[in-house]
Amino acid sequence: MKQSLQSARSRPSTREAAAPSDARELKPGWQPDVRAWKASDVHRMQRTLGNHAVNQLLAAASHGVIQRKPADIDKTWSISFDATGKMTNVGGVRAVLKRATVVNAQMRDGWVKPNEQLTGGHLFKREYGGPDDETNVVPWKQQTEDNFTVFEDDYELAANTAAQAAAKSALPFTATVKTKAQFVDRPDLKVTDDELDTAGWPAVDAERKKRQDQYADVAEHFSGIPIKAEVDVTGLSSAKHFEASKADIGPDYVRNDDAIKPAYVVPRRFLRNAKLSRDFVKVPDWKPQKSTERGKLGHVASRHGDQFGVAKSNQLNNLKLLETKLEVLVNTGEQILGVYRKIDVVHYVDHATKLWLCTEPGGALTAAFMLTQDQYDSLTTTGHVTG
Amino acid sequence: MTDDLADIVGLMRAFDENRLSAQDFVEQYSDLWNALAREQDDAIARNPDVARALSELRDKHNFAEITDAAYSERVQQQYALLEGLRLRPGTDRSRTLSHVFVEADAYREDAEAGGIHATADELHEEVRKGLEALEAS
Repeated sequence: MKQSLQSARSRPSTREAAAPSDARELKPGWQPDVRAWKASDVHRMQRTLGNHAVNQLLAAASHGVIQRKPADIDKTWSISFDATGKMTNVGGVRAVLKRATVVNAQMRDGWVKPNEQLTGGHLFKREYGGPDDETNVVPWKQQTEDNFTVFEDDYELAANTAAQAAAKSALPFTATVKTKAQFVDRPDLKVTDDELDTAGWPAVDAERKKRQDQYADVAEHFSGIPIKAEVDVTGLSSAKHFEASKADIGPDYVRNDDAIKPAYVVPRRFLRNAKLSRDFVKVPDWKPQKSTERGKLGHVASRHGDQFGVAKSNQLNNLKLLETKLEVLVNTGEQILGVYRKIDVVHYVDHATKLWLCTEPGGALTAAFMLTQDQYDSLTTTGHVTG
Repeated sequence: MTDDLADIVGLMRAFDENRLSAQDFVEQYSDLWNALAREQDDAIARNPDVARALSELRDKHNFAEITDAAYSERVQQQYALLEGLRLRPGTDRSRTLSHVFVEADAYREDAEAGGIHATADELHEEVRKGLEALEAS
C-alpha cells in the first residue's frame, strides 16, 4: 500500500508528462519529463535542437538535475459588466487535486519541516472564471488567503460601483486584473547518494532508491510554492495592488534530515482524494450463514442499516441490498487513506450525507455508518474518525 | 459533567463496573449515542445560518481552499452558535463519547487483541479512559 501511495504521488501529471508534439513548440520555462518521452519525440528534438543539446538534457535528467517548477505566472484577466451593470464573467469549474493538497500531505508525512499547512489561493477568482490550475492557483498561508479575500472584496466593491455608474449612461465597464507569481526550483530538498550513505543506507537496498525518489517528488512539489505573488487591478477609480512576499506565502521549508534515515517511519497515514484502486470485497457465496463477509454486512445492517436506507435486519435480500449500497459508496465517495483503531484503512465518505465506510487495504469491509459532525471533521482533517 | 449526559455516562459506569455484558453495553450505547448525534444534526437544521456556513466551510476544505487548522477553528465557531444541545459538537466531551462509540461499534465477541476489531477487554479499557476524560472535562 505504501508503494502504491508513493507511486501515485510521484506519477507525473499529464501536463508534465507531455512532450511537445513538435519541437518548434518548445518555449522558455518548459520542463521536460524524460520518463514520458518516446523515441520519436527524442528523434524529433535531435533534428531540431541538435544532438548536443538533447544529450545534455538527457544527461541532466538522468542525474536528477532537472526540476519541474511551474512556469512563472504572468496573466491578464478582465472583469466585465454589460451596459446594465451586470457582470458577464462566467465562473470556472472546480478541480480537486491541487498542489497545496500534495505539499500538505508531504508535510504531514514529515519529509519536510515545519508542518505549517498551506491553502490554495486563486489569484483570479474562480467565480470570475479563474481556472483551477497552476496558471492561477498558488499555495500560501491561510492568513495570506484571508488578507487576499479582503483585497478581493475591496476591488469587487469598487468594480461594482464603477459598473453601476457606467450603466447609468448605458455603458459597459471592464476592470483589468493582472496576476503574477514567481517560482524557484528546490534542489536543496533532494537527497544525494552521499547524503544517503551518511544517513546509513546500505549501497544495495530497494528502499534506498524509493527514498531518493520520494525527495525528488518533494523537491518538485515544493518548487510550486511561489516566492512572490502579486495582483494589480486597474480601470477602477484608483488602482489596487496586493503583494505577498516569500514570508507571507510560507515558512522556510527545509528537509527533515531524520526522515532521510532508513529507520524513519511515516508518523501517520493520511491522504485525501487518494487515487488507489477502489477495492471492495463482496460476499463470494451467500449460502454460508457464518461467512466473514456476510457477518460484517450483518453487523452493519443490524446496527446502522436504516442510515443506508435498508432495514435493520439480517435477511438475505436486505444484506444484498446493503452490499450494493456500500459498493456505490466505494465507487463514488471521496477516498481517504487513514487510520481506524490504529490500523491503516481506506475510508470512503459521501460529503452530502456523511455516510462513511472503511475497508482494509485489500477491500474487506471494516466498518460503516453515518458520521457525526465530530467524526466527519476528524476524518477530513486527520484521516481518523475519532481524531 | 452535567446531568444532560447522565444516561450515557451511567451506562459507561455500569459496564466499567462489570454490571453489564459487552454485548448489552454496545447495543445500549449505540442507541444513546445515536440520539445525541441526531440532536446535533437537528440543532444544525434548526439554524439555517449555521447550516449554510458549515456547508460552505466543508466545501472550501474539501477543495483545499482552507487549511485543516482554519477549518477546525471556524467550524468550532459555528458549533458555538447552536442551541438546545446536550452534547455540543467540537467539545472534548463530544469527541470522547464519539471515540467510545467507534470502539463499541468495533466490538466483536470473537475479536483478537490488537486487531481491527475490539475485544471486551479493549472495550473496557477505552470506556475507563473515556470516563476519566469526561471527569477531567
